[in-house]
Amino acid sequence: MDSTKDKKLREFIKDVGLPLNRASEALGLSPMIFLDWWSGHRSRVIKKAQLVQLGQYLHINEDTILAGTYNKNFIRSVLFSGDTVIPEKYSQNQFSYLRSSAHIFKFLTLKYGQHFSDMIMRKLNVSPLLYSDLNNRISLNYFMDLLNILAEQGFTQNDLDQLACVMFLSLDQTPQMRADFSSARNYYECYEVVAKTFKNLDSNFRIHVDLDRTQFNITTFLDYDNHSHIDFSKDQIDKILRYRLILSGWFPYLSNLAPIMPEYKVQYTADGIRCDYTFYLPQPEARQFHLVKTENTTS
Amino acid sequence: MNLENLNQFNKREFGRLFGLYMKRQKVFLNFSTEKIALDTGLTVKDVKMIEAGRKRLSQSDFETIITVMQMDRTEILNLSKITHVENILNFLREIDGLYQR
Repeated sequence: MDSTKDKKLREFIKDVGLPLNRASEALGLSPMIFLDWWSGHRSRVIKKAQLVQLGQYLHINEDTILAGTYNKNFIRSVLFSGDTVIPEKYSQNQFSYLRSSAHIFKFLTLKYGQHFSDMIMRKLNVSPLLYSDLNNRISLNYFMDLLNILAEQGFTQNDLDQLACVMFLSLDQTPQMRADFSSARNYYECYEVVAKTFKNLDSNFRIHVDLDRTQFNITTFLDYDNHSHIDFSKDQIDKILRYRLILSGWFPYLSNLAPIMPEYKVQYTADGIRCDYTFYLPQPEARQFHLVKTENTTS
Repeated sequence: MNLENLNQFNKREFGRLFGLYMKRQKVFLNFSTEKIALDTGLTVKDVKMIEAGRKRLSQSDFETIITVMQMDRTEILNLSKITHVENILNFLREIDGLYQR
């Protein structure tokens, strides 16, 4: 890498205010090598790999760094308003991906306005930038508190149920998942996608799936030992389980199919909570029900 | 985008959600109500009514507003889907004991 590019990278680091104690990590270099390069004692350190690493660290396209077309405000928001704003309560046992609740805030914004969803985030003591990276993880406590705060704000059980049905709102932010669900042509293919992507939503529950052409069985288990941080009161757990039950039945909507509800059984055992869901998959012609009528489709 | 298709599930709720989206875009684009009225050919009173979800839109006004306010069509389809979901949920509550718990 020539000195012009080195110079541009130095200017970038100064411009966005990347702290030097984080720069070595951001560039994927050891602190010693970074400081040698920074102080001019070592050259030919910054290669393409370092720029790619920096781009990933800042969630930007690495080409914009040398081109000077980066969004400074966005980069600063990533640097200074990111994970550090998550309360300790939510940063322990981070087994849930943020993508599993992104649709809820999108829904709140669309239905009640930006002001309302910002207010809910303030009540949770998290930054509105929390959802800038859906790959970040968070504790299940966060989701429990979210449901509680919405209930305090006057959400009825019917309103809370609706939150489990609007996952389509966050599919734009997960293009691969959207493509997979869109290409599913029947319930079997849809739940095949679910079986593959379940682990990308949360890992609080140990999950076992069994899928055939007529039936989809999921067993989930929430063990007490690994989740001592959770409030296991029946009221709290019932809320979570009800949400998950409805959510599980609405995955077909992502494939433009009618939702289905499973038979389910909950068992409180000595070491955790076990739920068994059985979906009886409708025949392929059932996909004609409840299709959204648009210019290009008829129902 | 065909307005009749979009608001087939609940006209009033779709209108309310569309108005909210319009308000967000107004802030995002830093537009005044007067500018929106001028650019769309609507009266200021009509713009305010649409933002509040209290005025039924014609297809042509709807298209004009989408263009002037640089609204995302996918987002508008999402608004329609929200009303669709509410419809299905109401239907399921009537026929399925599960939702009565």
